[in-house]
Amino acid sequence: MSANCSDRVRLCALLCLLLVLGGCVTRAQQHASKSDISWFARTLDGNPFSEIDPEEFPDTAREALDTRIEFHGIVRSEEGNPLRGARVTASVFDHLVDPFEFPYFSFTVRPPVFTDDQGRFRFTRERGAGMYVQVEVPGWAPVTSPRNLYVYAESLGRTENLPTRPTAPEVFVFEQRPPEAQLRRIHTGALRLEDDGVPLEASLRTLAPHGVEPGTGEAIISCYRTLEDAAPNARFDWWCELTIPGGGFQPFRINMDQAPESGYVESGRLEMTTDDPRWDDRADRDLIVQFADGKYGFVRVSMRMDGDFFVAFDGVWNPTGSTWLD
Amino acid sequence: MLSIRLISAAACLLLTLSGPLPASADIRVGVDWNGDGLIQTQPGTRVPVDAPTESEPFTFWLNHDQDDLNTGGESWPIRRADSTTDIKDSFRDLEDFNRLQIEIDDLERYPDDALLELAWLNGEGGAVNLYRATDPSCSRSYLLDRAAGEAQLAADVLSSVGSVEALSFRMRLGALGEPDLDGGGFCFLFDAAGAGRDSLVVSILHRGEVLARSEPVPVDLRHIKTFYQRTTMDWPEDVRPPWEYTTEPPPVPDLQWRYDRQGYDFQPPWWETNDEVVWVYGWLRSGEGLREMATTQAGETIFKRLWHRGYRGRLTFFHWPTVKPRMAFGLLESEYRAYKSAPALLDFVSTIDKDKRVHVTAHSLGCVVLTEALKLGLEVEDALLQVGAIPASAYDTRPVLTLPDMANVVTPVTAEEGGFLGYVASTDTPAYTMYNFADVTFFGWNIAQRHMKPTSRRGGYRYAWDSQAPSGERARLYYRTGLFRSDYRIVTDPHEIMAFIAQSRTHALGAETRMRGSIRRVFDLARTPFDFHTGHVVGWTRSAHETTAFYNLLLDIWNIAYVSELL
Repeated sequence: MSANCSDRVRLCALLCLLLVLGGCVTRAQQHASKSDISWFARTLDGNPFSEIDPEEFPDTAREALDTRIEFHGIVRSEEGNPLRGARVTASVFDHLVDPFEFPYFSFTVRPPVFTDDQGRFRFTRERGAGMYVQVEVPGWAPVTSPRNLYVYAESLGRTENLPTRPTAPEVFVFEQRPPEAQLRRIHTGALRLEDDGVPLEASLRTLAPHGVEPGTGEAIISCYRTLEDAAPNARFDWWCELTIPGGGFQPFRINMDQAPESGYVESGRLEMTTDDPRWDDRADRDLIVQFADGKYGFVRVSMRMDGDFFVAFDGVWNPTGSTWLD
Repeated sequence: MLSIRLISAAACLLLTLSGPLPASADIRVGVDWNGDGLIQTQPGTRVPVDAPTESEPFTFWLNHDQDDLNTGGESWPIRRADSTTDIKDSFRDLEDFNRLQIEIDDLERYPDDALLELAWLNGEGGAVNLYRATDPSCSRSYLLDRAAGEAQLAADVLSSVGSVEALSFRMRLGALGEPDLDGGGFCFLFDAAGAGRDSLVVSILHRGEVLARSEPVPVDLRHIKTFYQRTTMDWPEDVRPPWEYTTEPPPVPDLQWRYDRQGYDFQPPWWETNDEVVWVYGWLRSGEGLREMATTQAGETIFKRLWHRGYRGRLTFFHWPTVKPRMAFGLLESEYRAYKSAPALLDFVSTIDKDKRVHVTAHSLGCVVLTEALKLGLEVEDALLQVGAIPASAYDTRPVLTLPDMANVVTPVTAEEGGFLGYVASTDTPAYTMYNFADVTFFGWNIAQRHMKPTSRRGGYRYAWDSQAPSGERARLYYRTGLFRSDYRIVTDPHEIMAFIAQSRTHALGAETRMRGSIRRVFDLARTPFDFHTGHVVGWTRSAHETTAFYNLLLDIWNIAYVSELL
């Protein structure tokens, strides 16, 4: 008994010590990583800051970070009923990219908040140039855009009608999604490419880890590497060409809340040359895909030009034909 | 849990009694021989046929561990192997199962009282427990989907197909119930209870007559410790902790790695590809039998999960002499030993065939070993630092990473004076990190950086950094020479300075999301689909269902093809 007591005292002392010491410890935060910033830059539609005076831009950007952010939101069903427990994630653009280069702003992901009984949530103590808000309700499908980028800094083109008052919150509407309308997963795993330039026909919506017969693929991809003259570990030129027969694809943009109905190309090519400062032996691209039967999907295409030389598709598709992909 | 065990001698007898009969195409035995996630018994499609041969048999491991904890973990020491009991075990146990698909053409033409028989051809096969799979498509969903795994565990008793006491497996077709594979056969799972190498033959018998018999399927069942390599090394007994050396610097330990048999020699399987992964353990508990425990619980789980994801290269676990008697004691001494262990890692890597693609990865404090190896010139395909317990500034010198509350701490900063800044400013080996900002371990790591360094022991020694002293004399170890007297030794070994004196001004590499510098790419384990939350050792402590994406990510980083998460 006394040993137990002594153990408890020791444990309490240790916990107290940890709490005291913990107060002195800076906790890590989920800042945007190098990969995130690269992804973010790729998904922006051009450079939204191109018209700002480049001389003044660093100061402008720094000042923009100090903008007060207040955001009020409400999550409802189509019938207007509040949805409690919806998960809301905010990414606050609260620091600059170091080194300072496009897209200039970097973000920190805040811990998720959840809607209350009235379906409400708010962010009131943030400072930053803007905030990206994403709402998720498991098993429900969005009716209005479930994620948006809100610019708060005047100098960067403040978003009109920001929901800064509890009486005028941003409204996020969801509808219940029957099982047959749930988004379906796309995950091909690694699809080995036979040889440089040899096309691989793949099925994205059914599992076919070895590809499908010519003429039946939902996607055709071929990649080519100029390896002949490349020394081990040296850079080499490479390209990959993707075709969605009878359909098409376009780059995913951060302001896309659903698949666009137009703007698709049937075929496109990614090229990587050795003089590209961002050269890598691998690349990932996020695409919105329109299949030949008119259904839509979101896929990340992973291209791996070294090692086992493969591509992989990972994403979702909507079996209903709707353009929503959240 | 009822199950079937094939006992080779009896099976041989049965086959003898049945008499020879040409193999028939009526029955085919399917296994995922090539590891692509599919079972393909016949040619004619793009999917390669799973065709085991005598020289390239279907190979799987014995279910020798004890995956019976409610927490999802394993018992240690192993009191009974999972394959020897009828106890329902955990999801973790399912990783020791594999699929056996029996396809029967025109199944409906066989009478209900016909017997399905499984037997070894030459009486030399291992003991096998056979269970009916709950998924009628013979998929691997029991490993991929939690609900399917639960269904498989829950259904074991009801779906068992025989008795352990049976001398070989024979069962009435009618007793097997509804067929699987859209009426074209039956799906089983099995685990191996005994080693052996032989060919499995499946027959349908009726009133003493063999109605159909499959082609023999060569199967090799052996201990899992024969599937992967282990190395270990001991800290020399005559080399004491560095603070015990007062008048002279501590000696440089001569650490020599050696293969760690643990009762079994590694046997390169026929499937080996050109890849070799060297996995450097993190900070393991030290003590009798604990290395073996880590090997079984962590190492083997990592091996199994990579194998199920399609990895067929070699895997070597590199163990170094950590100090961790209990809780968090021994952290800094282990860090010191980690630096000293790096030459042995380099030496081990140098023994690997030059034509191989070598990937070195380390977990947590093992990243100190890997960092030092990179500093010493390690040249491999890639170096992957998983939630590395080493300051981020070792790889990225940008001021933005400096923690505001650590910016003015008086401590060695630059690598030249024994600090971490720019310690690995460049490397010829592409270096990657997996990080988790929420990892609770780094909370403790940060406390250690702030409050445990420079290290001291009341009444004993005290490390110090005297910033006013001449360059080269700033790092010191004070020690008592009398009741009120003390002296000091100038510390010149950067490893001793980094381990016991230098405080990190940045987060640990494994908690820092913004890495650039000599880090080529970063991967966030806090995000979906990895969802490590606050976990540090998630990859081998959570269930396989929750770590599929993590192991695919590992293979992806290494440019090694992996199986779809849906297969």
